[in-house]
Amino acid sequence: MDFWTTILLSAAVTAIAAIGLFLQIRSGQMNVGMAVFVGVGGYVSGALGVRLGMSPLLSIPIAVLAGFVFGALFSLITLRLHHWFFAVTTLTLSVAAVSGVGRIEVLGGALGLTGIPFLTHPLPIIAALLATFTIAWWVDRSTVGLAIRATGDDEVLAEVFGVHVKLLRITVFGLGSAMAALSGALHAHRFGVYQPSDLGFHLSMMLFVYVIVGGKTSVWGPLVGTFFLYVMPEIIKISAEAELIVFGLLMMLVAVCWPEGVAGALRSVSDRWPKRTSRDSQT
Amino acid sequence: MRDIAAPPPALRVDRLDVVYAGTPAVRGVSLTVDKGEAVAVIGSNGAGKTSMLKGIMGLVEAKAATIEFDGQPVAGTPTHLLSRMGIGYVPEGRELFRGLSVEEELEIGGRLLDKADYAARLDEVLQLFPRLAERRRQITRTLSGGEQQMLAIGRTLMAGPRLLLLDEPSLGLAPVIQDAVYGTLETLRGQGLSMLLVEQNAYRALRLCRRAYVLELGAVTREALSADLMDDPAIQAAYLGRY
Amino acid sequence: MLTQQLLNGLLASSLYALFAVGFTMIFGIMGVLNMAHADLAMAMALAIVWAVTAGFSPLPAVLIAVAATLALSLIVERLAMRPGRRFKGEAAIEMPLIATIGAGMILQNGAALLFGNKVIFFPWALPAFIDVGGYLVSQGLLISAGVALVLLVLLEVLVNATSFGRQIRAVAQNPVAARIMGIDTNRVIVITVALTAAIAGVAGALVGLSYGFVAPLMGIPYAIKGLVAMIIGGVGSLRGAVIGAVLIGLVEALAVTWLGSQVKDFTVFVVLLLVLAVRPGGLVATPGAR
Repeated sequence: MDFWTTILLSAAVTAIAAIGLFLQIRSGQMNVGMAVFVGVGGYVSGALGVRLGMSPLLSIPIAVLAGFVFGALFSLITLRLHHWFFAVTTLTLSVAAVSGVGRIEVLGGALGLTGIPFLTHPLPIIAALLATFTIAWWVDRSTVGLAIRATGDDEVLAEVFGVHVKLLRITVFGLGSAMAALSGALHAHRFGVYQPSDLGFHLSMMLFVYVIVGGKTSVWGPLVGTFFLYVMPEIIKISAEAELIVFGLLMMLVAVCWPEGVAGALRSVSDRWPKRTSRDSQT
Repeated sequence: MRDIAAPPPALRVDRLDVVYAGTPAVRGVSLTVDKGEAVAVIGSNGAGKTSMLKGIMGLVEAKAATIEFDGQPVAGTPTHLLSRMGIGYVPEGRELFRGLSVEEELEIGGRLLDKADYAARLDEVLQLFPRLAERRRQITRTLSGGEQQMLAIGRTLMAGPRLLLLDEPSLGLAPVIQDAVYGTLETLRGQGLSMLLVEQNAYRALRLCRRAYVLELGAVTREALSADLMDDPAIQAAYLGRY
Repeated sequence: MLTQQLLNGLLASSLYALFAVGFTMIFGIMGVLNMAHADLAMAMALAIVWAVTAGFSPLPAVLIAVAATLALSLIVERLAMRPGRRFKGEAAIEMPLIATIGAGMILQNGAALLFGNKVIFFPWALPAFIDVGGYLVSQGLLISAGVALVLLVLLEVLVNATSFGRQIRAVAQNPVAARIMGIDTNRVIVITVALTAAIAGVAGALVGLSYGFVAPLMGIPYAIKGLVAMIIGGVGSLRGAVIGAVLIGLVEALAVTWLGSQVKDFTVFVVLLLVLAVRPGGLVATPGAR
């Protein structure tokens, strides 16, 4: 596989988790420990393959289900926490999980799982990304999406309008975790290994950055953000540290003056253009 | 026509506009408070009274041709500097610091005074509001509504303001407590403190102040002596119904 | 053995406490988290390393480092936190959270570019253990605990018994009322940020002193422990933050003794969940905290 195919496939796998994170953030749950939910998928599917010799085609769906259950349970336990309370809890979880999973022998201990059955064909990855995007797009656009936005913005208001806030939050968080687990499982089968450090701070931060920089107000945001931030450093060819400095600058820029992210900025540009041409054609 | 030698008014506002989220709340309000004068602004709920005061105090974005305090242009001055220049503002709903004690709240008000002035001012304020003296160590959150209103006025007086802006000082208080608060305002007026009083309770406001403006839908519709307004059947019907 | 572990855990918790009070003061006064706060400690430590390597004697080296740390903290406040005060509701919380995460990434990786992403030896280290009343305790941690205790007492006095402390509490409890009362809220906030940055800076230097090495990413574990200590203590309370820090230090020491050092990070999470399950508002309830 050539260089760019590899990069784009990695971006596709990561974008699946970023889209899941987008849904979670959309529902008012600022998850800065997403790598753990990705890791559930990687470890479950990987361990089923290594320990039981299960085919990836069977173990990946199981992993996705496990991701949903784990996410929903986590959301249930942390239901009373808000905003940054929740953010700190997920951040702590991400760091804790690295040391916790390293103690579990069936998951390969500190060294992680090796010899996970391979599934490297691009087709399942592309299909998974399309499916994830479509589901997220539908969830975001439908009445469910409207309700999610209501819970994200104002919980009291949502309660007044009869949306069952708690159930919705739990379900959406579970759905986002299931997407994360799908991403983790695909990653595990792509490289054949899965390690405790895959659950840590770095991936958690990166996923958060992809969604925020891409834009957290539309499902295009995580997609655009992930591909943009995967491809851009490869084009300008900078060191890993310099890359993260650029990401940090983008985060500040987006936070202060670009709340809809890169996708929002692109859309406002594209809105301005075709509008003029369509008006021209009409007159 | 104003005599050249006469002192400038305590407050002169010329064509003040306040816009809240696209809707105009205050439209071209002009008013004057002379030195030592108490002026009322009456109007129904939502007429823009609070927005007007917030606009003067720089707490909301506002546009004005002129705002003059003591003859000095102050439009666009940050709130905390207006306060330090001598404009005391007692907002609607008291806006106390929930976790401070009565004493600390008064200390915040008088923190720029030197020791002797501070002690003297504290004495004056506690004489005006003896209830506060009894509750010096109490956390303000635990005070009754009337005591909170007294503290809100008292801490503002600690700074020694030359102009007092009051927003609905009788709101939510029992009639007896309202009497007490207005009694104090009467004393302050007697001492020559300039006041701009915003009230829904028009009867009390007109009794305290010599002159008044009527605010409707964000604009001044009348300016008259309080006595004339109280005799006006239209005003009686609209604002003095309970009386 | 157990007593000795607990003793060292207690001493180590003094460092966590210095971070926790910084987070809690910034949160108290602005209602936001400064996710780059612990990276200021790293900046101080590495600035000292740089100044000493460049040949400065200790006092100028420390002064240079303090100046650099304060300058960075003010830049972070100006660019990553102050703009958030324009926003309302959820956005007012999110914007500084996102921007300070970005600022933290810049600080961490800027340091990694300058010094290399590796462990760096601190010029003044006291990692040796000495005998105190029959127990072996780390010399550096003993000094750290002493310095921390003095700083925490001074901070408590500043906040509760001075005119400036009253202004800090006033801004924390009701920023609009503070402005009405003639308080320059921006000035109070900037001074508070600088104050917490100085405390974080001292903590960063003490980490170097106690363990003998520092690193561009050293702030991350302290950020997490400081934040967790703040939450389990009860947000907005200085004493709560210290109690939370001590709890984390002791539980960590127990976990290391009984379960091995690998699970150290995991226990912090367990403590957080347990405390939040029992007392969602933290161990110390605070009047006037947001």
